[in-house]
Amino acid sequence: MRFVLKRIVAFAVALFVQSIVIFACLRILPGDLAMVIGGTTSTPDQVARIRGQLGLNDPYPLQYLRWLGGVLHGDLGTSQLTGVSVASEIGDRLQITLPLALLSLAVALAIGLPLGVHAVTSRSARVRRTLQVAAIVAGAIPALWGGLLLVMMFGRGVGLIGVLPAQGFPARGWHAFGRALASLALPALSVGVITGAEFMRYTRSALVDVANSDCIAQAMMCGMTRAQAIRRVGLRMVAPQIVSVAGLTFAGMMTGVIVVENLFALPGLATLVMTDLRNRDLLAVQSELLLLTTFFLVMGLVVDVLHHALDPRLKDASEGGGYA
Amino acid sequence: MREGDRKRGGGAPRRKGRVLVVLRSMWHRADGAYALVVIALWLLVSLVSAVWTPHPLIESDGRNAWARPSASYPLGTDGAGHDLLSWLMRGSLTELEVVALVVLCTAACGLLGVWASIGYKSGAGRGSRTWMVCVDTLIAVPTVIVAMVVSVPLGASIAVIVVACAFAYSLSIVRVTRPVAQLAATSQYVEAARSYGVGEARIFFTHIVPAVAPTMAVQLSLSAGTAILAESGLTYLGIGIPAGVPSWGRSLSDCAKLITVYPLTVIWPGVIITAVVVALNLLGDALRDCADPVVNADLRRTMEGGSR
Amino acid sequence: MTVTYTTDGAETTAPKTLGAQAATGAPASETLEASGRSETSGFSAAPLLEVHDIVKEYRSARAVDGVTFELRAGESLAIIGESGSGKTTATRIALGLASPDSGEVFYRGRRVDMHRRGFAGLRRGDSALRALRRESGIVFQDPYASLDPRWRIRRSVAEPLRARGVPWCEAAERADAALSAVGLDADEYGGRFPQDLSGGQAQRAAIARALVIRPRVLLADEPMSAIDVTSRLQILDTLRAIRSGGLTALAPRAEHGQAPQGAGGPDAAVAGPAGQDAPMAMIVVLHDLGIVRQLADRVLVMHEGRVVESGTVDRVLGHPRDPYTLRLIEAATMDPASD
Repeated sequence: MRFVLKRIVAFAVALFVQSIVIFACLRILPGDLAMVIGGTTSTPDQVARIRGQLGLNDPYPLQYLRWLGGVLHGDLGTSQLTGVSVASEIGDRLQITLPLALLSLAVALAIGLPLGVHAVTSRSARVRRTLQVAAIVAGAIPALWGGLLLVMMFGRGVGLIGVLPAQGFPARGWHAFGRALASLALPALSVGVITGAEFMRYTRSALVDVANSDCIAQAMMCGMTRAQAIRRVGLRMVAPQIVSVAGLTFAGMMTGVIVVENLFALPGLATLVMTDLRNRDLLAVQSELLLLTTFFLVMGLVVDVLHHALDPRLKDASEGGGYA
Repeated sequence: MREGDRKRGGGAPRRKGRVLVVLRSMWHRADGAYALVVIALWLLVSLVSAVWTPHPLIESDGRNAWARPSASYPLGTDGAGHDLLSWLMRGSLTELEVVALVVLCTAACGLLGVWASIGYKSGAGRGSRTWMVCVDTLIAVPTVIVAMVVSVPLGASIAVIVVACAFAYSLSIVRVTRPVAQLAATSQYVEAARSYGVGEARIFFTHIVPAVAPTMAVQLSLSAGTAILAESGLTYLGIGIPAGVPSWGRSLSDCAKLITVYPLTVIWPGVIITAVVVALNLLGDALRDCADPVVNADLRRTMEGGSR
Repeated sequence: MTVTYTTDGAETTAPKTLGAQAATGAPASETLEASGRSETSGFSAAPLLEVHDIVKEYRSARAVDGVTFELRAGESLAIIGESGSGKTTATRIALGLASPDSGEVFYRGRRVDMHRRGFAGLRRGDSALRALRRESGIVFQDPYASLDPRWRIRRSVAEPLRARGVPWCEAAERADAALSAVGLDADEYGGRFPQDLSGGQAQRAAIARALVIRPRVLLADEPMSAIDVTSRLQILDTLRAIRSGGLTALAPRAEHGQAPQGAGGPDAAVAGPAGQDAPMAMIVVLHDLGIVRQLADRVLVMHEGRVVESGTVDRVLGHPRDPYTLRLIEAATMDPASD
């Protein structure tokens, strides 16, 4: 329990530090939001007036505290460009990016875990080698190309078997559940296969490490075949590590899917950040980045706690926390 | 005793001999052979394309757009009539630049990070612990975000790719090599060297760096592969290689934009990228095994020099 | 006058200079008084290394609690004690590798200041400290740990020279000479890795490394504890040869042509008569009394951070005053060859 509390405190501190870092980094960037709003024909006076209205002339610490205060109250601010609340914009994008990441993770695990196990337990050396080669190749495919290949095969209107939509997301969002899911199918598949290859290699190497351990030998003495021993006992042993990697991969996917989102014309979270960054809508970018950071840190926290819970050895050595 | 016998390390063959043995060992492995062949081809094509391509890169007439593969345009043309083969060839030179820059910057930043992580008092000091905490926090920053933020002042440029990849991989190097670096830094041979008056810099480069070199080599080759993948993604998003400069990512994204018109143009860039990235990933593993005298018996025999 | 020692039941003359034989080819004559001071011509009364009342605390326990001793050129001092007696810490402090919480260390009459920082915080600021580091060598307990496993033997042995800017060719030659002097064929062993050598061979290589810079002070920290029993004899022989001046190729030289550092007095005194090589002093840390006689002139017995007894080997082993020393003597596996 103490371990969990320590981690939560570390998390809060890290989040606070991150907010300062984000704020500071964005202020260093050149460019001026007021000029973007004013347009190319605005005079310096107009620009200055806009700056005053937006509160951009206030000293930095004040701007920071104003923002932070809002965040702590749940108000992520309002986009200074469009006037729309940042929270609602993020919400709109999240309804695409989050399910996409989840789906991709599901695909990756569904491909990676069984194949990784198979790559260790299969009795045929050729199968094992083929799987290894397949994993190396699949992991080297650029996401863009993978997506394009899938579109060429299954994309509606273009592909050989045009069954799945290749562009866009239904306007009604998840209310049109079937169509929404169909829109995410190809993107999730393209990311999932590539990530699945990584999972497969990771699972394989983790299992290879434990395959010669005493626990497996013990299980085999109890009557299991090597394959069964690895599947039952071995997987349980490497489960904590795999959970960690899965969690961190999921967190990375939130921004990592940006290429696929672009390819399939899905308005996602990372694209929002990029657009706002281009427009120097710093308030929006701050809140978005803070949200992303929070998400990462939460995932890290959850993963650590899960890892701790799943691995009895760590429970005894728990006083080291994260940074021994 | 010949002059050549007194080479560094006291072995009979010179450094050139050792390199040849390493290459030969790699050639005997399936993955090493593949990696060597592909990378050699890539280097060759890059060098050739620096002075010659089948067609000039910028054709003034657009009449030949989207031509099918033919004798004079082996891979066809793109939307502006440019020969795809020539663009891919010249693109290989750009990729070489990208990879070279990424590997150099990652190595430099990685070494700096390793040095900071063992710090004063060999890793027990407060400074190095703080640094490791920083590393653990920074490593969570998504590379895409770094690239986006860096592209604001820099625009679409190769520097964006280099900074983003170097950032991610140097942190990864620091984390992954820390146990080995710690072990070396707290070892008794380092303590002995210090007692003989060997300076800290010399200790770092002659004792610590060789200890982390194998792991770093693998990470650097992975970073090289990722650099190419990142290049294709970031160029597609508009913040990578600028428009008008040939690169594999540019070929891929140009073809992607018009996939409905002529789908098959997309095949070649993707195949080439995948093949080269696989080669780079395999290179790291093969290098790590073949360049380590402890693992590679042939190398060890060569280095020990036999009797004189 | 010559002094005879009985070792291995044979009478040998063991002069205290280690280089004199090389220069003159004949044993020099020195006398040693019972208290261990050398006061003959060629040796000054000034000690080479002095340690005054050093104290070092680790986690609220005193690892070293007021230790005082001195070391003169040409003599061999054994420090005995069980694990935890503080002997390793004391010797580290004496050689300037650790700083005491209180107390002082003097090398050649000058105070060694561990805390004076030079440029960029590197501990190079103090000239006495630098001299001490430059003129001392250490042999560690475990040769496999103290030799870089990725370096070949020749390179490890030459490392102290390379650190001093000696070009590789010369450093390699001197390293080979050092290896030969400790009984290792340089051609055969120079290009090998530590793990290819036996414990005894590796430790001898480590000794060669310590001697290659021609130190004035040699510290051997439990040099045989980590070596298998069958190889210990090699180490013992090597150390005995060092003590009796057999390793003439490596004896410390007064640096010709170099201006004396700091006050000219102490240097000239220790350097010995003009033309003669400067004698080396040795500190051997042991936990086994059995070999003390063969390696040392004087003994320091440490227990729980303090010196409980000190004096010449004959006096301490023959007429121990402290009960702890008595216990150690009784527990020791005495070498039947040494009376």
